Amino acid sequence: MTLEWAEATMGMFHLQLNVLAHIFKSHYGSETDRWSLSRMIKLLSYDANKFWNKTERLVKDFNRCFDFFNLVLDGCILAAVFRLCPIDIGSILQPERLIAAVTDLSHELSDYSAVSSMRCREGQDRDVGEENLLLFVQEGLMLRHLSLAIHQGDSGRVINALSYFTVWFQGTGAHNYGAETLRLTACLRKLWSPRLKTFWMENGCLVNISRKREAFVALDCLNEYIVREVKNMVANVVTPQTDHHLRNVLSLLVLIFWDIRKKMSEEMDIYISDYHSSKVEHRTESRLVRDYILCSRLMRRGGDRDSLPSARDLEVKDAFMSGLHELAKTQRIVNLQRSLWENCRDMIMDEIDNSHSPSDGE
Amino acid sequence: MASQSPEEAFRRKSPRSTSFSNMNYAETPLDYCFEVNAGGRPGYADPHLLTERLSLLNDYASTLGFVSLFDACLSEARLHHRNGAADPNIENFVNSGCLEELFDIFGKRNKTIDIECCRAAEGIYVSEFDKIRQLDVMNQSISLWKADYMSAFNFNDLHSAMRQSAPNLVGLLERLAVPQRGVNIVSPTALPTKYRRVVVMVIAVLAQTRNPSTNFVQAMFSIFLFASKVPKRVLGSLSHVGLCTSYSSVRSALKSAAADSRKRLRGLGAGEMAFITVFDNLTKQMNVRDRRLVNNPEFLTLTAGFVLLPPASRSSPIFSRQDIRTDLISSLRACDFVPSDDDFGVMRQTVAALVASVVKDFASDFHIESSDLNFPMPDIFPIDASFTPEILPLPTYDKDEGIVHDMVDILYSIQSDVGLKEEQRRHSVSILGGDLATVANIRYAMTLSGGLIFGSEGRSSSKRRRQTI
Repeated sequence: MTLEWAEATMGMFHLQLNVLAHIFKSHYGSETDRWSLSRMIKLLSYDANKFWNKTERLVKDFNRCFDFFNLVLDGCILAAVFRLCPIDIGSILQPERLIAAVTDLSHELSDYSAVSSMRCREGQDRDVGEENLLLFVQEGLMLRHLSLAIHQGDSGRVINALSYFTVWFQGTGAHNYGAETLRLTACLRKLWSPRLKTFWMENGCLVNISRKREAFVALDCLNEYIVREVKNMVANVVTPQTDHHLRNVLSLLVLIFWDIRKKMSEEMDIYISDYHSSKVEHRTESRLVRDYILCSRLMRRGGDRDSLPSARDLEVKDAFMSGLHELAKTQRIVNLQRSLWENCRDMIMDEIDNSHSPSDGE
Repeated sequence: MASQSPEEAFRRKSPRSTSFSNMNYAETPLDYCFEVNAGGRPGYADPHLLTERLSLLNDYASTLGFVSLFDACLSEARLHHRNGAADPNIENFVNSGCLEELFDIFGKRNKTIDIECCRAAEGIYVSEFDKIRQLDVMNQSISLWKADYMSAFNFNDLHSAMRQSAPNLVGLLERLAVPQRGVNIVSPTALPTKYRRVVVMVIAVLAQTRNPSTNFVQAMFSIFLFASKVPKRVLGSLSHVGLCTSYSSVRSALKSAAADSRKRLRGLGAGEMAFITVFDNLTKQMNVRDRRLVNNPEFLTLTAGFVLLPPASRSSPIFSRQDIRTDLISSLRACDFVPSDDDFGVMRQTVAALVASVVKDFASDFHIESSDLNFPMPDIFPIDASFTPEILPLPTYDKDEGIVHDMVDILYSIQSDVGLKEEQRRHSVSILGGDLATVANIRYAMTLSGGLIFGSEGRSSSKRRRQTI
């Protein structure tokens, strides 16, 4: 029997989860840093143990962790806009000025060599906190780009975000994800036929089962739902009978159960809370982060160097630029080619066997 | 207005009466002849000399051998009933609402007559109820699950079908359910849905009481309750009042639905269309109450997943090995992995849209209107949300994907469950998805099944896997 029919690809939900974990790992820092997530957790009086495992450096609760990340990122973006468009009390801001500020900021934040340039400055001119903050915003926007592309169901934007993360992962210590993103990018850009690539983009990446706008999820995220439902149906006392019933009857009906709950809620005109959730707004927290950044002069744009605080942060690795350097060394690409050849070898051997099989009359 | 003396009233000429002297009829004590013209309606008899006229008629009926006028009416109704022909007089009488008024008058005078009236209508209701019980939609057997059951369960459709078969019975229940004022029950379409649901439920409970097989509504409710994780004992209690079926019926319905689902899965290979399989591990700690040397808590490790079958608009024939261009592996270069200029352009536009969306959320902080900022998010390859794929959950495998031999078994089980033919196994390609560990383990299992061992590059050789090897 052969298993060469299987073409395995990584799911986007777990990619998103790991990007978030690496951002947390890189920017967690300590409470005494001028800029770090640890400092923000203290500022907002959050309990980090609820969503982040400090010892194993893993995301405990993705939703909580992502929520915290989003409110901090919003605060950072607000601070950056305020820096470009300071508003005095009682004054009226012209929309044109704000539009120009957003345009300038988008250029600045999509320049991934900016931090490298800042790090070339000499001693007193450098502000590691500012560099780390810029890195956080850039990486955060990349993650938000991926997350939004998934929810809005645009697999073209998912591939766009993937092209950045492919480079970015080469610069982090996550070698497995580095190799896997390289492989997926190679498949999408070169190795898969256009028909297979289109099929993956239309079906193999995202799914929407409710027909609602912005209700797309990654395929592996849908599978997490199925796993959770099956897990909840495991009987407290497992016997051969209950085990068989679970695995061969109930597991097959997970989505029929979902359908019937939905159907009944429609028929009865009732609101089932687990189908909808509204987020609690986080404007107050984001404004707090914004005020902290502005008061700490973390975004000074060159000037005001004399008043640099004495606290010195640890430098966060610029993963994107490091990733570019790693790719330039080509060793990873050679390793990928080797691994792809290993996979293909038995396929090719099969093809040769088939072409020389006795049924061909040879 | 001057009061009329009884004498004058007696002598007053009715507009519908004719002077007896002008007509060629026998003389009556009333001096007048009362004639009904062609447009006359039942229930609107001329009130002039009514008592006298009725008294005269009763006397005349007794001379013809009838106890009373009612006796004469019954005899006439019986006669027409036997002939089998519809009597226009009776129909006209009933359609004008006179029969209803007659029942009403009898009911107010005497409770016994009220009961008699209702009993007289019983036959109509019972025959209508029997028609409802014969409806196909009520007799769908849930133990033979069909995919269209979900759409068949619709209160409005059920109510319409019931109303069509039994207008009087459903009308009576609607009259009982609906408050007297404010709701129009003349038109069934105008009846609010909540009343339709009640009527359907009442009839469904009664129908199932008469015949336990007429239980489609109850069966759907049972599966709904089961899906909502309602305890078994609640299902048992509700089944005794006819609101749902018994737990054993639920189990047989689930088995039937699972068999249908498995059959659908097995047909995928024969369909020759491409599909995607996704799976992941499921780990649950099973605790024990009394811990002993041989009775310890342990982890249950299973593998759960699903198959995605794309909608027709996005489907594609199953892929072949030629769709993976292995000849291009050697041409991979660093520039193939770096974002292109187009990618940078998209990223810049996306970053502008993301920044603008944050500013819009905090528009009040900037004293601006959110509509002032127009930075659209680029659309590259949006997927149409109106076409949903079919999701077919796989059976859960009692295997640990972290152990390579188990992974080989999982893949063999999947190829068997989705009905991949031998030819497809050898020459086709199907996408499998999962998390990073799943993907790495799949590749490792593939090489193991092919007799090859992977190089160490790019693989997270877990301790567990090494032990297995």
